[in-house]
Amino acid sequence: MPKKVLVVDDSPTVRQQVGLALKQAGYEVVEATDGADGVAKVGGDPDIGMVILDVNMPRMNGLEMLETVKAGGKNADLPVIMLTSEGQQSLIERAKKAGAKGWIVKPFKAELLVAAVKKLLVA
Amino acid sequence: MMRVVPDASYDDAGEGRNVPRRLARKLAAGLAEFRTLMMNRINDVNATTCREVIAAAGSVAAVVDGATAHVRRVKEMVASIEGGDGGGVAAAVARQSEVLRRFFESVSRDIARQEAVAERAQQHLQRITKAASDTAHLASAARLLALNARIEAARVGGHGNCFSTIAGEMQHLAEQITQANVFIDSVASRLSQDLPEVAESARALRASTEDLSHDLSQATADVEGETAVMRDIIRRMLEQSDQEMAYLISSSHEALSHLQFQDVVAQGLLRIEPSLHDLQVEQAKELGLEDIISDLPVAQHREIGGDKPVDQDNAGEVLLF
Repeated sequence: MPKKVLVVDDSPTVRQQVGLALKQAGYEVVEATDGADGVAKVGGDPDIGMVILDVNMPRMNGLEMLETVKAGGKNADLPVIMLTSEGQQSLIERAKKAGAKGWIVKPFKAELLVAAVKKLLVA
Repeated sequence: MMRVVPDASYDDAGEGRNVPRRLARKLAAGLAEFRTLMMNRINDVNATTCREVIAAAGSVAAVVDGATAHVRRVKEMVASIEGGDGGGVAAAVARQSEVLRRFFESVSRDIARQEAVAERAQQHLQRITKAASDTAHLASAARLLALNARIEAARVGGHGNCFSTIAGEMQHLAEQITQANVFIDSVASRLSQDLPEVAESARALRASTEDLSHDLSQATADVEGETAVMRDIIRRMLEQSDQEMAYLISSSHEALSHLQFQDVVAQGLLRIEPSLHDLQVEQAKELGLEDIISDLPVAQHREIGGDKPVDQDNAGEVLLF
C-alpha cells in the first residue's frame, strides 16, 4: 500500500506540482489549503505518513499547524517537511524545535523533494 | 483608473497641502481606484496563469502516466512470453518438445523390439527350413528303404506279403512326410520373403523416427535460441524504456520545478498591494488628508516573515534535520 503524504499549501499550483511529483514516485497524495485544514486532515486520517507544509498561509500558518499537530508529543513519529519561500534562521529553528524534519526553500527541485520524502519515510 | 485634470483652483506650488481639498480627495479616490483596479488585474492574471500552470502540469503528468502505463503493459506482456511462472510461450514450447521427445523415444523402443522379434523369427525360420530339409532327406531315405523292403519281400514270395504291406505303408508315410515338407517349404519360402521386408520396414521406420526426433531436437534448440535472442532484445528494450522513463520523469520534475515560478511571480505581484497601500497613506498625508487614512483598507500581509523577495541563493535548498 503506497504511503500517504499530506500536502498543505494555499497555492493550488504548488499543491499540484508537489502532488504530481510525489504521485510519479508512487505516493498517494492528499491536499489541504491551509493550516486549519491540515490539522483536520491529520486528525481525521491515520494513514497519513508524512506532511509537506507551507509556512505562509491564511487562517493558520504552517508553523502554527506544526506546533498544533506536534503538541504534547502527539504525532511524534509523523515526519514534517516545511516547504516555503522563507529562509530566516529563526523560523527554521522554530520549526526544528517544534519537530519538523526538514526545510526546503521554494522554488524547489522536484526530484530533491522526492528524494527527501523517500529518505525520511525509509528512516 | 481615474484621470485627474487640474482646474483653475489648483495651486501648483509644489506643496500638497495647498491643493484644494476637493481635488485632493479626488486624487486620493483616484489612487484608491487605481489600487483596486491594479489588484483586480493582478488577481485575474494570477488566476489565469494558475489555471494554465495547473493545466500544463496536468499535461506533463498525463504524458508520464501514459508512458508509465505503456512500459508496465510491455513488461506484463514480456513476463507472459518469458513465463517465469511456467505459463509463458517459451515454457509451453519447451514442455511440448519434452512430450514429443518422450513419445519418439517410446516409439523408437517399440520399433527396436519389433526389429529384434523379426530377426529372431528369421533365425527360427532358418532352423525350421533346415529341419524341413533334414526331414526331406529322411523321407527320401525312408522311401528308398521301403522300396528295397518291397523288393526283398517280393523275392521271398508268399512269406513276405506281410512285410511287403508294412513296406508299402512306410512308403506311403514317406510320401506324406514329403508332402508336408513341401508345404513347410512353401510357407518358409513365403516367410523368408516377408520377414526381411518386415525387418527392413522396422529399420526404415526407426531411421525415420530418429531423423524426426533429431529434427525436433534441432527445432527445439532453434526455438530456444530464438527465444533467448528475443528475450535479450526485449531485456535491452526494457532497459532502454527504463532509462527513457527515468529521463521522462526527470524532465517532468524539471518542468514542474520551472512551473513553480508562477507561484513566485504571483506572490511578487501580490506584494504590490502593501506598496500601493503605503503610497495611498503617504499621498493622503502629503495632501493633508490624515482623516481619510483610517478609512483605507489594511493591506493583506500573508507572509509570516513579512513581504520580501525570494532569496535566489537559498532557493531549492533542502535541509534535513
